[in-house]
Amino acid sequence: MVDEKKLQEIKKKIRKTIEEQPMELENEPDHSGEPNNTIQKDIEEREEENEKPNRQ
Amino acid sequence: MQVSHRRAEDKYKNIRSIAHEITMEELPYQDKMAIALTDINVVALNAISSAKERGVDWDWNFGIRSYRKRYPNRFELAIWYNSTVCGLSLGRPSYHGSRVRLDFIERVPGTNNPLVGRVTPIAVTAYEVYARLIDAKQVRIISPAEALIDYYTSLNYVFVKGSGSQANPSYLYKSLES
Repeated sequence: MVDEKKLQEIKKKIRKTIEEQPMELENEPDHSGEPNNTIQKDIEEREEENEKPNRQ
Repeated sequence: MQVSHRRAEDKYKNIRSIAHEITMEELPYQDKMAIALTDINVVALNAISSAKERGVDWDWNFGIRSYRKRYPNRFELAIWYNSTVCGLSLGRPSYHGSRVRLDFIERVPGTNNPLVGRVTPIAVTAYEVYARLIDAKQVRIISPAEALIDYYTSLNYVFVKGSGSQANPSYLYKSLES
């Protein structure tokens, strides 16, 4: 379970985000993304590995 | 299904449900009581696959099967207006969980869709909630539609142009402040 304090903090941040951003789009396209693309996973894994602190 | 996979499924199903609830609660629309967010179910899959004049021929049945098999921590989203499905989206955290990526999103085509213009903003908000719930530090939107890049950048997403190859797609990212 997620603790209540964390939930309240998330709600507060999302409320602020929503206040600051347009929540309606003119000419919204009917799709976005590329479902066949799974290669990005490898790129992200490499990036995450590079971000790890050096343990030596 | 292995016990560990089942436990992870249950854990993330619960977290997705919380993400859906928080997003619904915080939506700024006057008619938000008519809007519901859920996991993707058979009704939603049938609605999208039988829709006419779709802009893409994505096989959501295959996509959802594949993600469910491989990624218990995936984020799936069906956006409803009353009992009408208006859009679907599927994404997942990166391997180490530091990022959540929106892989694809499709709005049910046609001017009858009561959430035209709101499917993308609702989905992006839901991904940000989910990312915060699992302590990811960044949301990424992979291979964005050209027409949406300006919108995403207006939400403080940063555009990174890829090479055009499948191995190096364009994407946008937003770092979530703690």
